Amino acid sequence: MWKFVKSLEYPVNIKKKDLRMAKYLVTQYGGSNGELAAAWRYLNQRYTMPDDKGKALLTDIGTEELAHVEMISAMVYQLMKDATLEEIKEAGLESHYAEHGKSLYPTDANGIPFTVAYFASTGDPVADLSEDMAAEQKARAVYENLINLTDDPDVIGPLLFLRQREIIHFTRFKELYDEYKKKGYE
Amino acid sequence: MNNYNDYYNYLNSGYGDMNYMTNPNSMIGDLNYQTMYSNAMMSNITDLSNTSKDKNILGAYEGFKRGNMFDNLYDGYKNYKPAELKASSEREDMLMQIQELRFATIDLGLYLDVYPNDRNALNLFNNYLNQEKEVVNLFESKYGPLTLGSDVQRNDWLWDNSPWPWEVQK
Repeated sequence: MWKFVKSLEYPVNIKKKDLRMAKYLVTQYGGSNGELAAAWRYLNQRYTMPDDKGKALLTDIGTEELAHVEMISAMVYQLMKDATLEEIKEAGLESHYAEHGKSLYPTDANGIPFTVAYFASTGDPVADLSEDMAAEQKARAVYENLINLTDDPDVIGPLLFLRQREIIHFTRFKELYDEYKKKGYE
Repeated sequence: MNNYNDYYNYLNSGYGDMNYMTNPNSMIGDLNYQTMYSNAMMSNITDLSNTSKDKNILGAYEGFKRGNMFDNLYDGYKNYKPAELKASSEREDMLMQIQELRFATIDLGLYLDVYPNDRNALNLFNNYLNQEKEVVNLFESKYGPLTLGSDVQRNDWLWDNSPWPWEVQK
């Protein structure tokens, strides 16, 4: 089971609203390479990992991704919080507003809603870990694109932190992948 | 000492005193914030980077700032530097200490999943875990529960009286 802790993994304190950035950043919530897809990709694949090491690693990285969903959600919320209707229109978020008001909703940067089709489970640990490694690299690349789209240090700080986490997760998945290849798991 | 980083410079200059923990009354009273802050600061985190046999494992503050406890795995983006973390209140400062210690256990935990026989990493993990528990107890006694199971709401339901994590922290 999971336990809620009333604090983020890393501080998010965005003082300046920026609807344009919220519109792009939401992809790390509900996009194909986002944190929600990552969390459920790993938590869903863990059942069929061939040993306890794999079950532990996918459980723990999946759990950390849930904390990242919360960080990204906090960032999107803070970027949109005090928006006027005029600003919402200006940023091209009228369709979001029409459907969801000012609430959060997991979509990609084009407004396409989250779907579980963003991740696969083959039951083959080597194939699943390869997908996980690719997912971490893609998320890293998207974090870099997002960093390039803003100059607000309150946004860049958490994005740099989250980008490093992709690098760590990739490394741990790769270490497990190499071990499984050596052991001949498939 | 008026921000989070000054505290670390202070600690790194060789002061890593845990005395405060045995004397919680020193936090209570009509002291002004600056004094309170200093008291809190002296007590909570012992930077273990110098005690680690594995020089590749960073201290908790540096690791937290970077989002990566492992020096050889750090891969910066362009010339961006990790954000300097500054607290604007004692509450936020203590929360950052908890986040920092918890982060050390998260990152060392993933490492231990893959390398369960690394005794040095296991010792660091347990040290940071114990430190986190101490700061959490101190934080909760002053600012309310961080989890529903916290001891501080034995007499009063305090869960909804403190800021939610997605609100800008003050």
